[in-house]
Amino acid sequence: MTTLLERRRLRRLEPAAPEPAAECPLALEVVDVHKHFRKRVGFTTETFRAVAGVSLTVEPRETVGLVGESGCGKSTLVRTILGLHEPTSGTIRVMGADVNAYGSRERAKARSNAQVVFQDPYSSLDPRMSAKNIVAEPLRLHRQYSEERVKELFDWVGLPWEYASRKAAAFSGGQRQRIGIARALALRPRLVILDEPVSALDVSIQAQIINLLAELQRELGVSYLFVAHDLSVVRHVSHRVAVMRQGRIVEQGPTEEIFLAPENDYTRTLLSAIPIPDPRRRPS
Amino acid sequence: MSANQPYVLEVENLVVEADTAQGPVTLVDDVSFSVAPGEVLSLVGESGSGKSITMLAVMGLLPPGTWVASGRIRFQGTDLLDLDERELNELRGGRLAMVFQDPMTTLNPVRRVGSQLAEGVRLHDRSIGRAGSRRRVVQLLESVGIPDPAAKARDYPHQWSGGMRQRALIAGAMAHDPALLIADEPTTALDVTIQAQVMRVLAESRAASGSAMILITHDLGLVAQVADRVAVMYSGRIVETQDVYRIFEGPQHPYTAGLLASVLSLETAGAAAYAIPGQPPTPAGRGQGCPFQPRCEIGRDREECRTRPPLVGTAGGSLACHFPLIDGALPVGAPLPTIARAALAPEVKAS
Repeated sequence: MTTLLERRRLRRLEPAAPEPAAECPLALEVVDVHKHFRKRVGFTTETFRAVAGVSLTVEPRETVGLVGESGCGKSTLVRTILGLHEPTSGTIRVMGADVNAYGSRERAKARSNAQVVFQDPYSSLDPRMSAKNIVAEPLRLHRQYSEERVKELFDWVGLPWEYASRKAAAFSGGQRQRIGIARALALRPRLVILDEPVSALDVSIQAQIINLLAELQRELGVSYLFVAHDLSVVRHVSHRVAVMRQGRIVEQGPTEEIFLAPENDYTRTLLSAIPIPDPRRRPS
Repeated sequence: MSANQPYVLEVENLVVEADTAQGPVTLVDDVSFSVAPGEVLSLVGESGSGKSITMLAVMGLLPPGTWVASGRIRFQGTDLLDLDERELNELRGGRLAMVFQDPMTTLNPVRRVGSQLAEGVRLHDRSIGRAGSRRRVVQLLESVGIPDPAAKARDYPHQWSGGMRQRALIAGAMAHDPALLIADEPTTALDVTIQAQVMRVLAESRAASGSAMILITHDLGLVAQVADRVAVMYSGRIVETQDVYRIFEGPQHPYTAGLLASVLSLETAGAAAYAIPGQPPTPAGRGQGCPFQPRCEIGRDREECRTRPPLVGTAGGSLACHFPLIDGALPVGAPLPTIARAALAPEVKAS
């Protein structure tokens, strides 16, 4: 589809991710990570390879899109990166610090540098806490609390401050997700894992959040691992894309290459399933 | 009788109110629309715009503390608001069917899928009998492409994938060839490849029965692919209805234009995402003027927009705006959207 020349041109236009200098560690480095689960079936046990050998890097200020359908292992990978699962094998480093290091200092450093916005805004917020306390909690724990900072975070994610005292349960799914984003950004982490952060939001709000995330990346230099099943959103935000299926990464590369010249059949299937927002182009 | 009706469903000046601690608020404000037989009307809007509440009012399923304050809802000539619960039950699941967003919560987890569907079949066809209803369920499951339907009918919902569950619900809804199917975000919870499958199944079973459909969604890609007509709701009101081709080519309401501009498609990648500034108002916080005025690039500073524009008929649709757009041009003087991706050169486009 694309000629070699065109591809070379594309590669040159690749977003300027800073050169990884020796003293500038990768925001995220995942090296051959496996996560297997054991399942008892009758008298034997079966091994389910949720993540079966994934390697992935995220540079500082870079957004890497991780795409795949439900059950492909992307959420397990996210949980493993966050240290919520211990990997069966492999290494995960956040800003050079091993997430699963023995000795708490390195591990604590790695984990405070990686924050997350979870997929389900209903189960990831305490319904009885007020919105402002949810956002303030990490700030209080780290003795950085000020009401101005909480107000600023509210403003960033597009939540009216009048709602600040409402309980999380009183918010709609979209608004809850914004509280979750504000909470994740509160401590200015170096890496934010966005696990389907906009799939619950309305179109006009999706665009706000995506522009906001881009703005924050420019201002704070934060890196994103953007996990999603929606390829059009991923194309907008990512510098590089990895396509995951059945625990493995089947294709990865610069965003434009993946979208213009997908090499893997599964990537092509995914791309063709997206409804085109143009009524003149219906598949008859 | 129903065949002579020009519309399957006519909603006229519907007002739905709800109780809050601060007194009653208006959730759905003077909404009128109609659906012709076999037509697909897509109801588009942000969460809280009242699209789901409107449809729940049509189904007579408004949550407690919410009521229809005024208006008429005519389904095949009968005013649904005059019916009692028993008469409504005759209609619902029969000629008037609904598919909800979440197939996880719509099915009872402790009952077999087949027996749940059979119950729905028997409720509207008392003469069919147990064995007959079971055969019908197998047929229905087969029609939506469930492999080995006889065996699968004995499974519990948790043994099925989300896509299969949603197809089962569609099968159940289509069991009695409804005149109108209301689908509230039927594929939002599903993966794209599964969404494509479910939408195909939906189109096939609708083609077989000739049902009209109201598709509630916020996915404008889906709207473009399946709708005949589009009704855009904002803040409890319908702001624009129009033929799907016209609305995508030349939206007249600034809100519709903003919504279309903020769609992220594979082809707009590289350009920045357009975001409508601000937030939709809360039901209690709606002023006297045009509800979109605070966010509108055109009306924000105009005196006229401080009064509420009525919904008036236009060529092929209706519109509630004092300063409609011409040729779908983006709001005049709209600020350039923030660059979502600074580094991507605009000339790089999908070939």
